[in-house]
Amino acid sequence: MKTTIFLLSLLSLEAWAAKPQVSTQKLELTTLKKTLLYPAIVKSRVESNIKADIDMIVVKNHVSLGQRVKKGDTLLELKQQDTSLNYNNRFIKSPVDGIVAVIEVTQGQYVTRGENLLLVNEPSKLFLKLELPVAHHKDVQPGLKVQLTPTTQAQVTGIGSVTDSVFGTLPVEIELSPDLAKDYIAGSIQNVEIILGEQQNLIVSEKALYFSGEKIFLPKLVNGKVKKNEVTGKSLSKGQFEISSGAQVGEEVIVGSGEFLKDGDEVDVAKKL
Amino acid sequence: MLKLSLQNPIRLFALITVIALIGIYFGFKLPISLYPQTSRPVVQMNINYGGQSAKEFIRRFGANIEWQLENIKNSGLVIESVKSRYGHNSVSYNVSYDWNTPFAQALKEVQTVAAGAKGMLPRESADSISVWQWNENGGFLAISFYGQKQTLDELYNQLDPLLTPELKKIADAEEAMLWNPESKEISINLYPDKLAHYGLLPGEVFRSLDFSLVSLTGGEVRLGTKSANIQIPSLLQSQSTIENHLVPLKSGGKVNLKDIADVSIGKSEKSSRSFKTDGKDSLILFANPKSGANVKRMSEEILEIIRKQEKLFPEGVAYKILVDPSEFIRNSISNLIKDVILAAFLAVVVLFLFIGNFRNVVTAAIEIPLCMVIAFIVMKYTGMNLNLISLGGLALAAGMNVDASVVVMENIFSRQEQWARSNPAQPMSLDQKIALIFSSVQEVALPIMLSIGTTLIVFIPLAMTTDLTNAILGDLAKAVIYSHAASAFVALIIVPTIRLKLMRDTSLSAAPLEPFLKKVESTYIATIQKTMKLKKAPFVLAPFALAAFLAWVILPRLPKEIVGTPDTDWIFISITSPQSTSARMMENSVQEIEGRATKLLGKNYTYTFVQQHSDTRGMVMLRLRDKSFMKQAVEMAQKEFVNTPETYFYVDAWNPAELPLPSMNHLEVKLAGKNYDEVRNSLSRLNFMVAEKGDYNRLNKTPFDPKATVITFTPYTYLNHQLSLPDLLEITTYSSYGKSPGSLTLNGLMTPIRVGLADKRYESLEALRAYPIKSNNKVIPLEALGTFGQLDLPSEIYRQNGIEQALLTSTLDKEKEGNWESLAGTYKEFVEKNKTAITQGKDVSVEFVQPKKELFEALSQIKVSLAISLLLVAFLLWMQFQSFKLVGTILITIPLGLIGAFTALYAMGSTLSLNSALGVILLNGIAVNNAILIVEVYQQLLAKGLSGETALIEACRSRLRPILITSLTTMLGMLPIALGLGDGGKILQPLGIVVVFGLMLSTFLSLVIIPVILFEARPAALSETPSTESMPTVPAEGEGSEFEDSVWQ
Repeated sequence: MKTTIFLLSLLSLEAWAAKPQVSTQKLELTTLKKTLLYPAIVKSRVESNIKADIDMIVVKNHVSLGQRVKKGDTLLELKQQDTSLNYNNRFIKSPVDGIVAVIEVTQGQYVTRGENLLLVNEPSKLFLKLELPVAHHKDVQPGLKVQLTPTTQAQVTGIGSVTDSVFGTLPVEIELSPDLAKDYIAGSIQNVEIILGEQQNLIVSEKALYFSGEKIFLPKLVNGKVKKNEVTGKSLSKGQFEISSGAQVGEEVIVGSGEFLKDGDEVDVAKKL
Repeated sequence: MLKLSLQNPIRLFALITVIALIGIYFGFKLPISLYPQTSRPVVQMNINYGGQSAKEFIRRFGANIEWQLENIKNSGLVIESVKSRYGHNSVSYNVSYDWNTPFAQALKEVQTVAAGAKGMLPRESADSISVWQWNENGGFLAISFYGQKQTLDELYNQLDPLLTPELKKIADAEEAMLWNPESKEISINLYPDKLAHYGLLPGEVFRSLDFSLVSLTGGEVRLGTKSANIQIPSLLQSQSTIENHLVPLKSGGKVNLKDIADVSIGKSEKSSRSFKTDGKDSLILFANPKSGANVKRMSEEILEIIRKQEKLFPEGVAYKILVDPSEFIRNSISNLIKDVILAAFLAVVVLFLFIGNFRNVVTAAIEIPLCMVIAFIVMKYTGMNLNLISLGGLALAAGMNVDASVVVMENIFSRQEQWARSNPAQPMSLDQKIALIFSSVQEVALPIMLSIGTTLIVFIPLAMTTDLTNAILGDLAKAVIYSHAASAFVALIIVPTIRLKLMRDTSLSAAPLEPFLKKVESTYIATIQKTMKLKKAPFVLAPFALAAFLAWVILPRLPKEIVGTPDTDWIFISITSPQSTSARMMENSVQEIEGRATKLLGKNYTYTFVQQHSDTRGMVMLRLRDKSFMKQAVEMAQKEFVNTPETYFYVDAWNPAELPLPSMNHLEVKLAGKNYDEVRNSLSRLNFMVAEKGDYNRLNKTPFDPKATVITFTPYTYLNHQLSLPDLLEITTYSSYGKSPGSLTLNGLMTPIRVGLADKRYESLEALRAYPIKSNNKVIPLEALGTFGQLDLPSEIYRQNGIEQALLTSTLDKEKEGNWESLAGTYKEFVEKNKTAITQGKDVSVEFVQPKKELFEALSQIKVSLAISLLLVAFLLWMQFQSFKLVGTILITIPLGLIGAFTALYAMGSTLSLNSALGVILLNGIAVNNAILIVEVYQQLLAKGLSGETALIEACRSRLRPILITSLTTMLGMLPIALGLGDGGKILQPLGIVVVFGLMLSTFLSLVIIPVILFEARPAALSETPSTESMPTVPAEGEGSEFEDSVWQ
């Protein structure tokens, strides 16, 4: 009697035991960009760093920060410290058209030879400069697209031909159009992605894979049942796996499941990705 | 001694009173814990090794630390194993000691090693060392607090001052604290581009913070005649002082921290724990007892504090007692008392029905409480404590203890009856009473001593067991031994003395069941007369054959376990969502499941308790109204919560009062080899193959990481730049989990500070390569300053006793658990057969470890104990009777008992456990007693010259009532245990079943079978006059007597 009840309860377990629930995906070719990511500094094409050529005292500042000046406009008035020399006051004029970006001195300040006085640049004429490790010099040419933000792109406009002796890098320039330049400030640093090319690959999430030693298996859905096939490929970033063999475009593969799936298991598709 | 006490009973009563009072006092003073120690002392030591790889850490420090831990045994302690798990950035050493190691010493030794290790490790690792020990057998108290109107922080600030100072005073508590799961940290997230702009590396910022956190001592200064210390407190005292902290630049200037980083105070990244009671965020008060402390008292004191302080709680604040060990202990103690009272009551009823004289009955029943208080005294002196197991032993013994008194009382009564019949209407003098009592006791003294001796001797082998067996059964066996041994003293000295006091007259009083008993007696004698002359052989062989057959058929079918589990009212649903990326997401998931669970159970639950452990794991717990609903609740929940691709569930009952046992895997395979990569690959293949076979659904790989890739960064040391190499190296540390310069006291709480990178993009390898560093007016990517490599080094390593290994373990689902032994056998063969496929021919050893090793060893030890106990019983009997035939006759009662025991275990769906095995051992000691009584009297009568037939009939007739009484009192006394009533009842139930039903069958069958085997056709040596001539006589009034008429008249 006890055995009968035991058997019945086992059977009833089988009856209501649900099939494993899985989520599946049809394999499609995904476009992957091959890129190089580097930090770049924003610089202005027009930039004049005005320094003192002799020791002087600042008499008057003729401009304010951010003011637009033309070439030849007076920026600063200075005089020599030794008044016995009786020289006329010196007037520093702007060598370029632009805006007053930095003012380093104040009225009455004593400045020495070589000290920075002001910086004038043209904020609408900006470019990005990055240092490219020489190992990649063959990959990068002028004209390559550069992804600045998810929605904006620019182009490589120039590559240097002399390697920096300390860091082993080549300078690379990326011109910014006046429209794009509005969003940038000279001196700031950000990462840019040089797009070397595009490739189409079969990509699948690493979570879908089963590992047995060095072998990798991908479970496929064939007539409602599980069939694990051996695949080869390599891990990419962000938990993705690039399949080089063992799977075809259009095959339905199981990418998520609550339990270990054995070959031949019947499953319920809860979600199609 | 009996003579002395009969002569001067007052001295004896005074002694009994003193003993009773001492016993009661000690009973209250005995330490109380939930369980005896049923697991080995285990101490864990964790060390964070930061940026080093596991392999490097092992080489530099790990191997040495392991060696030191393994060699703790030099201080006299025995280490069972040292298991080391080296993970991605930390290692945990698990030191397991031998069974009898004192907990405090076990902890101290590891702490010593930790102190030594601190000296040789780099600072971060040294600071991260933690050593702890978890005593599962102590039990713990957990209470959740929640409020309607305040945030959790506010609630904590309100309750902490009310509770914490009082909690610190609890002497029995190892740790009692109110815990706020929302731990805060100060996050300083550096902006890499801004750092680059100022030419700073994260390490430089870190060092300036580190320096500013230190409170310096500024030396001494004289104040008048005294000297005073100068203290320079830390510059960083609050969030704003941190934000305005000035970081020095290489150019000579300084920059505010807030200009290069985001400073915020919030929930620490690592901690996404939370607790909710009925949906409300909760604090947890958690307390666990010191080793050897009284957990019941600890819990009661803490609950008393809460009740006292409750009136000071803010409005709307409530609490729920989640786990209270004292409740379980209280219930079990009251259960014990109920069982004892029931045993005493049933003994009284049985005695009354069989004997009829109420005074006799009460006298015998005094045995029960007296034996118990004597047991308390011995327990106190032997350093035992009161726990559910030892209490169970006392309850068990209650029914057995009364037997000796019953035999004595019954004999006194029947001699008294005989005297009354021979001397009608004649009062008995004191001397005559004393002589009657003395001779009655003398007559049964030896059989009683022998019976008690055989019951106790079976426990001796148990005292020689070790480890788990002794841990579980030791306390129970000792409790039974102490109280049962006391029963001899009580039955042979105290009870007759009391009886003498109460012996007012010799009038006959008929037992209520007298007519029925007389009929039973006459039917029995008639049966004996028919059967005693039958052929002996079938009666000898049949019990053994049947017992062996039932053992062969039934025992393999019985589920095996170490010990039964008590009922519980907590059900839990564990939830794992590996795809959840935030605490918030997990919280929503858990809330949804809580809703479904409460809807499913409807009115059957009282409240919910929800825990969130991390971004991906949580648990919903529900307290049921009725424990008996548990099985149904678990089935319903398992049907409702089925695994989906996003979420895995596990549903089961949770019993905090369950006996904690060493963890038992149903499958364990060990792999080892010189090349750890090959070992790990073999583990991966083995795991795949076992999972494919499908029986084990909860496979665990140690180490877990299937792919072990380690990124290395090696700076170009020949580069001529001013950047600091260590700082360059550390960039990766800041980009991943950050670094902590220390902690700050914020709002009275020590809050850790964590320095990391603001931009989470730097967590990927590509982004790390592009980390910007400004030098010589250029912005250089980190990639240009060194090489990034990718190595297949194992990032997780498992070592046991200094050898690198891998383990595959698994437990079975409940449905398959009963089958664990045969499955283990199948898989052992499978692993052997597929060894080459697993190792791919490489040099990797594959060892299939005996599953549930501890259980296996425990059951083996029990088998040995059983065999030895049988031998000891046989030896004791031989010493008494000096005849193999008589010893063999008596031992036939054992297979008769086993027939009843096995059948009952199967019919009642019980288990083969340590307790049922103990029941068999105990049964062997008790079952022989009935036969001893018959055989002893039979031999005495034969010696007096009666014929074989007359002696046998008289022996059976005279012993029938005492046998029935003692068997009934023992069986009825243990019946509540056999039925598994009350809290903790399930633990001892198998023991009760074996004893009650084994004894039942043994008693009734041996009353018939023993006479058949004993019978010898011997003629009488003297004329056949029964009873009076052969029985001892009481001196007539006036005849020389050494007893004086004193205070008794």
